[in-house]
Amino acid sequence: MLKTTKFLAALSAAALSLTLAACGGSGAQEAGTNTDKHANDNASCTNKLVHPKAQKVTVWAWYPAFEKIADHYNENHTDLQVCWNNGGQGGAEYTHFQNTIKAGKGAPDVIQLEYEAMPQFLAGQKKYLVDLGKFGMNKHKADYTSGAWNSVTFGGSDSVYAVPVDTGPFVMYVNEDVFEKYGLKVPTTWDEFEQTGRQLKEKGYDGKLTNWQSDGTAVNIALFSQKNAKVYKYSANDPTKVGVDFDQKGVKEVLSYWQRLAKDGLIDTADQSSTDTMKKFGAGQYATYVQASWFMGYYVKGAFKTPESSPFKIYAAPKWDDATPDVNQGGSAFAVTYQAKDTEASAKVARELYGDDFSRNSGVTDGGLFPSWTQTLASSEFIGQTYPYLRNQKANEVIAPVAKGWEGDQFLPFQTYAYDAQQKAFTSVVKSGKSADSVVADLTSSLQNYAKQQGFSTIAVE
Amino acid sequence: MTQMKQQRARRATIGREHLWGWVFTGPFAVVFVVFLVVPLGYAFYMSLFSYTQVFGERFTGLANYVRILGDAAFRDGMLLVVMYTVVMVPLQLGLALALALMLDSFKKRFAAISRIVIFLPYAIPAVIGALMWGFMYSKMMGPFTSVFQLFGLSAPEFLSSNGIFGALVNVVTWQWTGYYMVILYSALQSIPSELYESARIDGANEFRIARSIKVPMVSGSLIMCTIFSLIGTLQFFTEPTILRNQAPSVIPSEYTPNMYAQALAFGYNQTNYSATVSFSLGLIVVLFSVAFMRLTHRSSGLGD
Repeated sequence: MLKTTKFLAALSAAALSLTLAACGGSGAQEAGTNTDKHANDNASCTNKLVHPKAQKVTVWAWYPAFEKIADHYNENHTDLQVCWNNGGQGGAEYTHFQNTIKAGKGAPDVIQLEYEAMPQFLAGQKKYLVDLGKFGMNKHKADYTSGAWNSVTFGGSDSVYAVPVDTGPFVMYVNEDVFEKYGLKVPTTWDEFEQTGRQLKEKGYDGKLTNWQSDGTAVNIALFSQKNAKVYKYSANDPTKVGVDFDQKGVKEVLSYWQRLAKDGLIDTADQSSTDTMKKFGAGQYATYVQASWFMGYYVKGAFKTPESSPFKIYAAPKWDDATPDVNQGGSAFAVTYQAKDTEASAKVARELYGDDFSRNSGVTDGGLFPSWTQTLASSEFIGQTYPYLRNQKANEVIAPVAKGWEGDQFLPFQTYAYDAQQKAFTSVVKSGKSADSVVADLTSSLQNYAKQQGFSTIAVE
Repeated sequence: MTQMKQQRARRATIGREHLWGWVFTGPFAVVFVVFLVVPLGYAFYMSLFSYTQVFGERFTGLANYVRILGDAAFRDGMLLVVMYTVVMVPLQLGLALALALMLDSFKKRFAAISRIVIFLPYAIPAVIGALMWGFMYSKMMGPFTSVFQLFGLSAPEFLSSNGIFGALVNVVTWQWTGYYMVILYSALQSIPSELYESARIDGANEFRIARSIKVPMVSGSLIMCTIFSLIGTLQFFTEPTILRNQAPSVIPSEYTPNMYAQALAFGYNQTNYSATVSFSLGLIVVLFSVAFMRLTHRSSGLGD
């Protein structure tokens, strides 16, 4: 009995101290800065350092062909050396980073994060990403497209939480062989798109107009954005408030549109991550594919053995009307973590990694990144670049205007959870034919409840 | 005086025996405490706190357990694994028993090779088995499409919301039946042959011998296998997790309670609630196992 009482007393004392510690700030506590130049001296790096004695800045990144970028940086700097490791790709890296936050150590100085993953590390009681505005990042605003810039500032006045690298302008891949065979014109509006699907079906095409991915995440956000329906709201200035609203006219119209196409058998509704989808894509079973520009690097190259065998070309994504905005799906940036040993040096590295012509060209050609850099987008060399997997098309002529027109999207601090919930809801509409009205209402209330359960207060999205 | 001496001597012997007892159980006790009791205690301790992005970690007592009672994701996952248990456990054990009895009866003809072939799937790691089936279920690449085409039929949609239950039952049954069969087969080997002889003298045919002698004699092993299968199915994780890569919209992240715990800890950054889910699942599994052992107390050989 005595033992139990003692144990309980100790437990509640521990709980009390934790609660008190948690009451330290009322949210919005900015990450501090550090100035230790030697803390990384013994860090282990995947890349071979050119000047092993110089100060090191640790970087986690999963960009393709990133080692070239790190080597290039190290060859051209004697004072700082990039010590690169692959901390995992996407979700795996975020979990890894989250664990280092819990442990209070082990995070890199500079980390690659997708735009949609950043709110997770900026919400709540403490920001785990450093405001680069303190290091003069605002001077470089004009170097990046406005969509990319808005994606790293989160509506903050002078705060910049990352250095944009790539984006994912939303475009349409068109299988030219199919369109030639059936003598069809490439659709420019969603109405024409639907008509094309009906014509293909009538003319006996054995494939489908396109695939609406039942496991799609950001692609749906892009489709809603075309209707100016912003479903998420989050601002770094107000990190304890979030907005979620799928119960909007635009969302329902988009979902009902795809539901109708699926019901009439015009489209496929397969999971993009299944191997079958990839096979079908390569076998000419899809006349079009509406996706981000990076789809070329990830899918088109994998689906065809030789560049000549790919029948695809890129066109502008279908629009609803003349007012339909340019939209984006994906993209990432370099952020500086609160654990950065030398914060100022880390901020410098984050900005300079893809800061010169060599690294930007390598990012585009070796890494297959679609750049957020205005200078690159304006260069005739970039615009004139031909793509063997796209029938030697000068694809950037189509993609660059979309990248420039995009104004940015907002995401939630619990985006992984929201995507999982979203996926189930949308699949039930498009695949199983449930009414969009009730599904979006349920999804909205369930995500709002989750937000409250996580301690956020909910606000309107507009 | 002598009595007291004797008593003291006896006590010393007992003390020494106690000491040896501790020495022999010590290594096990250490492993048991370090790898089972401590993690269990820690999981329970963690489940008493709640982590939220806004407030961080706070002591919330049993609030997580209140939350889990009303958690539809956990409840649906639990119901699903119970359904899997109801279908899979009898299927696996029925097949395993039938195969074991057959092998026991046809000892000479191909017995050894059949035993190995049936057991082989168990020797394949679960992850590789699930990956392999994932490809076999594929419509574009799997063999079923061509097999069904031979008969002018189209292959069933294994990786769809209607087909996934059967698809997963098939993977698990394929993998585990051989393992249970080997256990039952070895139990059959230990039945003394005099029993069969006297049964034959009494006029029993092979079927009667199987029903009245063999099955009752291996019921202890059968119950042990059932408990293994029960625990395994309630903790269903590997196969759906692997197939999820092929069909994420068909197998959501909280498909089974174990998958839910993983999603919470590694996807949603809710380690504390994940601990609650794990602890509750563990408790339910223990309850199921204990209830089953109670029900079959006499014949199990695991009681007492």
